[in-house]
Amino acid sequence: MNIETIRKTIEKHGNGREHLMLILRDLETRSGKNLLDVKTLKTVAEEMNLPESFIAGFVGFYTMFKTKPRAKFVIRVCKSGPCHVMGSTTVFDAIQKQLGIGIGEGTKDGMFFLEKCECLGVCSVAPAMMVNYDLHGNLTPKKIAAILNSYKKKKPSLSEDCGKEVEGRACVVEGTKQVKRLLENVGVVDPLKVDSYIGKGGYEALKKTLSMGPGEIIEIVKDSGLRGRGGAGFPAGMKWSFVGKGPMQKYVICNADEGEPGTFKDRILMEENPHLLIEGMAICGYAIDASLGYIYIRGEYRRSIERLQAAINQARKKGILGQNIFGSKFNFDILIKEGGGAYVCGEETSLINSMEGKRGYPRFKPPFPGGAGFNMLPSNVNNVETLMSVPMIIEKGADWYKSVGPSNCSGTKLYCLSGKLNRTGLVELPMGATLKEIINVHGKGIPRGKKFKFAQVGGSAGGILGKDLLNLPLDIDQPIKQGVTLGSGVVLVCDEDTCAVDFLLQILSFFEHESCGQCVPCRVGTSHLHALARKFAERRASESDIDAMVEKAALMKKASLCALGQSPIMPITTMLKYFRKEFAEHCNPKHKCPQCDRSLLRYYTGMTH
Amino acid sequence: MDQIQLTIDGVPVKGRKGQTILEIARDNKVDIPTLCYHPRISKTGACRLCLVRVNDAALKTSCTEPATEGMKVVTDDEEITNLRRGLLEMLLAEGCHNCLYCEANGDCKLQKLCHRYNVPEPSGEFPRHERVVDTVSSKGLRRNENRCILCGRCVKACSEIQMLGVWNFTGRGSNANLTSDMYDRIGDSSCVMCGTCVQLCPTGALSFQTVLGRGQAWELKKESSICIYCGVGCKIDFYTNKEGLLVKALGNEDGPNEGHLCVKGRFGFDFVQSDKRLTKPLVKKNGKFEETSWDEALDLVSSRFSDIRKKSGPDSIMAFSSAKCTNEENYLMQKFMRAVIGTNNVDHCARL
Repeated sequence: MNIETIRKTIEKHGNGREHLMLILRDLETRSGKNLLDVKTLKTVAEEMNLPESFIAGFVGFYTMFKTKPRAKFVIRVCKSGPCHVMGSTTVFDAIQKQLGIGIGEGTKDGMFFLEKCECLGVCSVAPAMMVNYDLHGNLTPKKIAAILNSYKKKKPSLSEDCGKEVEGRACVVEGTKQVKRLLENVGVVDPLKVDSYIGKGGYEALKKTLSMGPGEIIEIVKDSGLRGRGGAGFPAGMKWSFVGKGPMQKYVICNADEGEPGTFKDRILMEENPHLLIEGMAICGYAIDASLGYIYIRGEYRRSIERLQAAINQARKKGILGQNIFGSKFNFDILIKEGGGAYVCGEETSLINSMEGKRGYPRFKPPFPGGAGFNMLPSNVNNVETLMSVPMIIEKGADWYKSVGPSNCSGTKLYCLSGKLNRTGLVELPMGATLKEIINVHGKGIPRGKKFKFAQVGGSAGGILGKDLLNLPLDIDQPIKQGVTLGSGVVLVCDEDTCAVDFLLQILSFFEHESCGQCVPCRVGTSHLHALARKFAERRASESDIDAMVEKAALMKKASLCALGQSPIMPITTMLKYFRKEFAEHCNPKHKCPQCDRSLLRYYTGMTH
Repeated sequence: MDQIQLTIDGVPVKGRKGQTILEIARDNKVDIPTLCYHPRISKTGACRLCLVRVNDAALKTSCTEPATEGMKVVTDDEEITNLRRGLLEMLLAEGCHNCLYCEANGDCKLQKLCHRYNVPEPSGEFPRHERVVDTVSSKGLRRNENRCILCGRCVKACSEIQMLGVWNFTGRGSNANLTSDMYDRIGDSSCVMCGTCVQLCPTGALSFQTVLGRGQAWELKKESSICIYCGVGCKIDFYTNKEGLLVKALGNEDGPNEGHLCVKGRFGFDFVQSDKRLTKPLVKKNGKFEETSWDEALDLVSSRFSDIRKKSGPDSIMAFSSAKCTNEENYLMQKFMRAVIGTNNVDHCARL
């Protein structure tokens, strides 16, 4: 790429390491063939006055970037849980048939390049794929043909052109009895118009906030019992109160790196009601004395990025963001940071490293982000759903918020329904809904009269729930007592046709792919777990490998630096709790398992990921 | 300074507020195994070997966990031993560690710990990523990444001590590996061959060309000396092999250089044992250099200086001093020129 283009791109985004993601993404798109060649990268390093190795390390970490030639359009087919259950192998089959390319291959005309990827966040319309930045769901061979055909005349660009089925409002379950608080205005307000949001009472909570003291706001949020909705369930008000005090710059960081396979709630919220997030962040900013907020959104969510950016611009114009908001002394602005395809960046300290333009390695704690976060300054990191719950708490009060859900984890929860259900999508229910209710009432049961086998709750890092736990209230605390977790609210339902071994293999390959590689137990452990699961799928395991898997995962749980390496134990033990027999059967070389065969053929030829 | 008191393995010890458990343990001669930790670089917390039990409950990495008043630390119990053994087992399985061929044999942290924790040989059942072996591109450094444990000490040595940032990790997860510059070979990169990365490498992944085939670490004898290249006076540990040949120089951590060396100190010692080295003064007689005594040589210099000074004046003489001399020697030189010869014609090679 010529040096002038590179210089202009750097100038546009700012010459600083923290802008690296946007600069590289821009350059990659400008290349017209999804390529960041070494020469370009060396020029970027020189122009930005950074060591070349920093850029090489950065590009090597984020899976969306490649230094090897690809094609005009990169097709990324999701192979994570929900898509896998709904038949992502058939998508690869169809593409192979239509374009004649397998994973890691490109068409001769330089139009398409095929990659497998992890969750794209459109799990209710699985199986799904992404062509450059356009998401497409509900894929069938016929639909794939039509989609691919439509790209023949297109030019690569950064603006999305997603299918209608992935539209946020289309992914919400309608017509069942829910308690819609966060979803109240989804499909009602126009996400592209700030006045539409204001017309529905938007930004009233921010006005009310500014008439109160920061301490009061924190007390209300504490009193409401709001707990983090990203997965860990840490009390939000308490987290806010831990943020360092003093004259230094502080930050509100919104974690919108929704990567837990099966989770798509944040995408819908951001696409459909971006101003609610802005309001929630501003309130948090006021409470913790931060004048700047960052939203870290995964790079796959182009529509969320575009809509949020538009909303931020509108809010700035209206004086809702900027100096002296609503005539007060409070100043606040929001900037967007993008991810580059790394699940681990959902971990708050990895996210902060990624924001700083570094490899998304998690940091050891302490120090916690509240003390030393972004640029080593006090930062409060909350999930989208958490921050979006704040305005209603301020507006209607803690008591109102606590009126639904159990006392220890009040409010509503967004459950992301996917898998073998007659109706998939997002539902909002009082915290503590049961699987039975979710499956039968909101999911309208399992298609074709098939029997329920298990549900994966909480995503890949979550657990497997069998029939015995159908009545377990899915709140934050109860599942933990049963050795499972609610996590981000994923409910992936699998019917009797699902092979437990194949499913676990998919989870463990996910962890190997997404491990950052910094700490030993996770880097080596995820690789070994994947290899062990492969042995079962290939029917060359022995029963002692079951214990070997548990032992490794237990070591990882105890010794890993961050939650990623501590996670695989849960899916493994909960899966074995129900289906140990199936694993034992897979030890027999003569055992027939078409599902494992299909997966092995499609994804796992070659050594590891 | 705020003093705190805690117990390590039941023994009361004192430390300063802000110190980590590991720092206090080391101050008190308590041995906690580490691989990624090094006092001269920022903390990483990646190898997880320094896990200790805090207050009878949680396991914490002692290299990152700040010690607090009244803390109860247990550095080893059955569970911790098993974890350490498991972690070492993982490291062995991940790489290709064969001490038979390794220059670090005898000075390898991984080797020592595997021996200490009685780690079994890897079964070979797990797939392993073949990594870069580059032993030829650089005149100073050898890289065999199959012996690498990805502790990150070289990465930090380069970016935090030498401030260059030649090394970094690239790839991710089990595919993570080292890169120098933009996927270049080390010899083609911007490396200045200070060798700090090699010195900090806990295994034989990075080694010096000079030691190749000349002895493994356990065979080498160490002698401390001061670098003769400039007035900084870096403390150096020179290593000689069984034949008495100088093969390696490492920075001594107790010197003002805190273990750091530059390319000259690190590699410029071959002259010491060169047969071309001058060991006696030479005087040119009839167009040929001949060996002579110090007395004769100095007398000659003195008489020639006097003659020149008498004939052409003191400003016809100048002195050019060397950075290899100490400050005191350089001071003496200019004093000699000003007071004895009577000229201000003094200069120094560091100005060039």
